[in-house]
Amino acid sequence: MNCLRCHTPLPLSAINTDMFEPCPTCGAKVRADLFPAALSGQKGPETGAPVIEEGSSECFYHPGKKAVVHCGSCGRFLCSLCDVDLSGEHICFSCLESGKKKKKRVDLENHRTLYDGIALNLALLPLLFFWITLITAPLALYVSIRYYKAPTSIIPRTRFRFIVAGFLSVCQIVAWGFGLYALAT
Amino acid sequence: MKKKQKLYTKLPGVTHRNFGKHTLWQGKDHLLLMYSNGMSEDYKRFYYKDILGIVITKTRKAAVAFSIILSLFLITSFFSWKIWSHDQEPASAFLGTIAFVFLAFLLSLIIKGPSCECRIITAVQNENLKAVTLIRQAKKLMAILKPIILEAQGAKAPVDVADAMVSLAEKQSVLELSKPAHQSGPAPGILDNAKPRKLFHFAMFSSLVGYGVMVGLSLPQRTIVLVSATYIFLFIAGLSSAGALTVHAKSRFAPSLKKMALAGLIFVMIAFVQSYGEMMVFFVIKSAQGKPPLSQMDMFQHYYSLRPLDFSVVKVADGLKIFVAAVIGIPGLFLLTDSRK
Repeated sequence: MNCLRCHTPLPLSAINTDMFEPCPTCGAKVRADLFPAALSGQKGPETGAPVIEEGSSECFYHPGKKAVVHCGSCGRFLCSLCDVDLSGEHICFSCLESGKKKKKRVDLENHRTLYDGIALNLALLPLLFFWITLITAPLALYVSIRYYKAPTSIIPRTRFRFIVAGFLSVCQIVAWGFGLYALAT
Repeated sequence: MKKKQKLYTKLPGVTHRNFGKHTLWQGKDHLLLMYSNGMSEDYKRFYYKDILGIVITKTRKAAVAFSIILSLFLITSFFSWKIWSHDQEPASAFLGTIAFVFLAFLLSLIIKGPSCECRIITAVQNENLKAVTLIRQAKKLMAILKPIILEAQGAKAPVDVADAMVSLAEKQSVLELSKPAHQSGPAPGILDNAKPRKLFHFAMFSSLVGYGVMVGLSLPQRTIVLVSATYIFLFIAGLSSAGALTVHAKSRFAPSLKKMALAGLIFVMIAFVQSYGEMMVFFVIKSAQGKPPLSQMDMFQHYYSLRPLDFSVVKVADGLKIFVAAVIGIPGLFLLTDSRK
């Protein structure tokens, strides 16, 4: 564990004190917490145990290797090499891959598009230059309706933004309708 | 109706950066670092069982920001007061409003407290938790996070970890003793861990402050003594900043100090060029006016007998030099004294 300012390794006496200790090199106040995982040592890669008994179950992907668990998603038998422990659930690589692609698993997502935010920005920001709302208001309304049921943020968040964006865009469209009607007549 | 399960709980720490914000969330078995710009979100997960350590280091960002804003507040409030005494109320009120905004920033910095950098370490990651930038937030975060991580890693109390570390230290000392003498020192190419000497930095920052003071004193009327003192300070600042940059390569220094030294050197070079340019401009103007050709000595005489307040360009240039010298010199000295504590 290094001091973040001078990148010098911290002495053991400065670790896990629950306090900010001065770095012996640069004098910066540092708090370093080391957890049991750091002290338990690193496990080497699993290779999977070979099948010892005749007739005992073997891995679907590695014939000859002893199955230790079954995939929680597809049910295939897996050896310790193929087993992926994901939040306590054991799944195989192909289910992991398809889950990531189809966005079935929330804990595998690392990016999300917030359509409610896009709709609200489309409805709000162009108000600074009102004439752009002729294009953006229908767009905001479209996004609000089209993606109303699409997943929003991963963290707790309501669909209030969709409603506000829809309301504002309808107001803008109505205003444009009145304006154009007044111009025409 | 079945209530929707809450996946994440908000943790202390939020930082606004690049039109978005970084936040931290507590999941069932992992910590979620989220960057959101309002239209999309990016996530990074750190599973509690994989976290090896967390390092928090106090940084000088808040202190530097404080000293810069304090300088700006003092300058604007001084000019506001100065203009007020010349019966120019609207301009004074405008500057006063700006000074008030700086004061509000200063108060918010005081309330927020010192800044920090927080890094989380796993076997394959060393990630900056960008959401945590204040010591206050970091302390709160650790109070929540530490028991959760310990529980996820086998409910070991911190005392057990300390015991393990003692045994680890003993093991390390045994290993160190068993090493041959030639292996006990730092490996070739590794920088020594000795406390870096900051004499050059001290000379540079103090001479920059001295330079600023001399330029300020010579604003109403330059004299040969003041101009000489100004150049001596600038010369010392130039040499010491070059020296500081040289020692940076040989020892460990804080990145902020390195940046300040580089900024100091750049400023000294610009100040030299500006002063020489000023001399040359006067030389050219006076040569054009004067019938007999002017000598180098005449050029210097014109330069040091000048009243900068009479020339708007010189006044602005000198004002800028005072400002930059103060902005680099004062926070620099502050950083040096801060790191010596």
